[in-house]
Amino acid sequence: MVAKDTNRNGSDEYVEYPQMAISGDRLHAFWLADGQIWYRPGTLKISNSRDIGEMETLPLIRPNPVQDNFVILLPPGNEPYTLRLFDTNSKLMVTYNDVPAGQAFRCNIANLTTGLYQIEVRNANGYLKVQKLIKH
Amino acid sequence: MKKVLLFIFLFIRQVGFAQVDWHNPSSLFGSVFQPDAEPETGPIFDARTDASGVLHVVWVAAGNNGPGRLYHSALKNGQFSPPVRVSAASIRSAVTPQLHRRPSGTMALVWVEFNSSTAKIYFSELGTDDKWSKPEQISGPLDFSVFPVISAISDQRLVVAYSEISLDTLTVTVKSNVILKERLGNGTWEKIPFPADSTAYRPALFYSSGKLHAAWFAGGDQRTVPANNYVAYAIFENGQWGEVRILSNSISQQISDDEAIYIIGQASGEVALLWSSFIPFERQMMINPPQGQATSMPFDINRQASALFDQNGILHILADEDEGKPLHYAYFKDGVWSQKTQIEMVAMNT
Repeated sequence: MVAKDTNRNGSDEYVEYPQMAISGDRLHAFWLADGQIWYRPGTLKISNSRDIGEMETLPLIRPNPVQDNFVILLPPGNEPYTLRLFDTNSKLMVTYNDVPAGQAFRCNIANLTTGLYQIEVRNANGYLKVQKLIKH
Repeated sequence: MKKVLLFIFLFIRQVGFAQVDWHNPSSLFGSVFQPDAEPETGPIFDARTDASGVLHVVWVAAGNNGPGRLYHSALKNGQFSPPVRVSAASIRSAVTPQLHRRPSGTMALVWVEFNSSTAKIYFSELGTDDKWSKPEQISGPLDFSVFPVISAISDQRLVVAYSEISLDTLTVTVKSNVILKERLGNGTWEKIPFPADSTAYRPALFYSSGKLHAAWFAGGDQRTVPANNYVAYAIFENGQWGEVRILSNSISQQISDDEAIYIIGQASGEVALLWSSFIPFERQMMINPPQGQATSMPFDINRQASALFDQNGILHILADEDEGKPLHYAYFKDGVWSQKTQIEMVAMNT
């Protein structure tokens, strides 16, 4: 999924009443905010194989939520990655060093308690991405 | 090395991906009407596509700070048509409109109208002349009915379920029933059996492949907190209801809009039941109930959510997790949830 985070501008206004409809490859999203109905269409693209679109989603974590084991697919590159897992209090729980680029890396978190975690993926070239992981 | 490559190949094959390129958001139809009456009664708009792929939107708008009335518009050739009023001009307020695409592809609509101290369910349908039929009163005349849901068993047989809430004046407690009514052809709306007791509320319906799927919350003594409610599920097939199955017994909440329950499905017959409760915090999805395994969703749908299957069998969901939190989109494909994507653009302050 291409993450297109948007700016909330620190607004206290909250959105509610999401609605969705679909016609062909077009998703129609609606919500209520600031006393108005907002509309945002999207174009749905489906693929069962890896391509450029999927590369944008890397690193990819499956499954998520996870029980004991998950696999993280890392972007290709010349530098290995360091993976660090933090809990919601920013406490470092697990570190994996020198994880090869472009590979699917299996992680075991059976010893961690259930809850929300963050995985930090970085390398020596300045690459840095953080993703959420739910353990249940 | 071969094993590693094989593993990577299998991983990629299993994951696949779906991608949504979201376009710029825009506001529609001007200011809407936001009822402040209790109990809170849910959304004030709905959107569905008809058999031709035309997008229909219904919503409640207030004219000059007056009563909230129900309007309709359709997206044709890239433009939303001018709003047309669906509800009567004399009502105090309308809420929770729900659109349904009949097997013939035409649109049917149910909603709640408030007048004085009553709330009644109304029905209308969009004709081939693009005009809405005169609203028909389904519930009443002296009840308080909310959360209507509509489904079609056939093009000539429509069913509507809703919560009928009443006050027990002796014990000063709130009671709730789920009422199911059907209309054959152009006949009147007639009450038919629904396999729930007098604690049931917030029904959900979905018809597919000869089966009418129904789910609802029930079981609790509404005078106590926690109320020990549960999620119930039953299938109407070959003219009769099957066994009521209890799918979750951990819902512990009084009647409110902090729970949500939805049934969605696709033409192939696959059905998904989604429910969410606030106390305790629970967010579950079950594919092909009641036998399916309930799995946690990566977000809650307590406040509101919208979910649907696309033609590829991918489940899409848009969820409002909590007040002040962003609106998130995710999809469920090949047995796993995608990551959440924040999609609402808070351009309202600009």
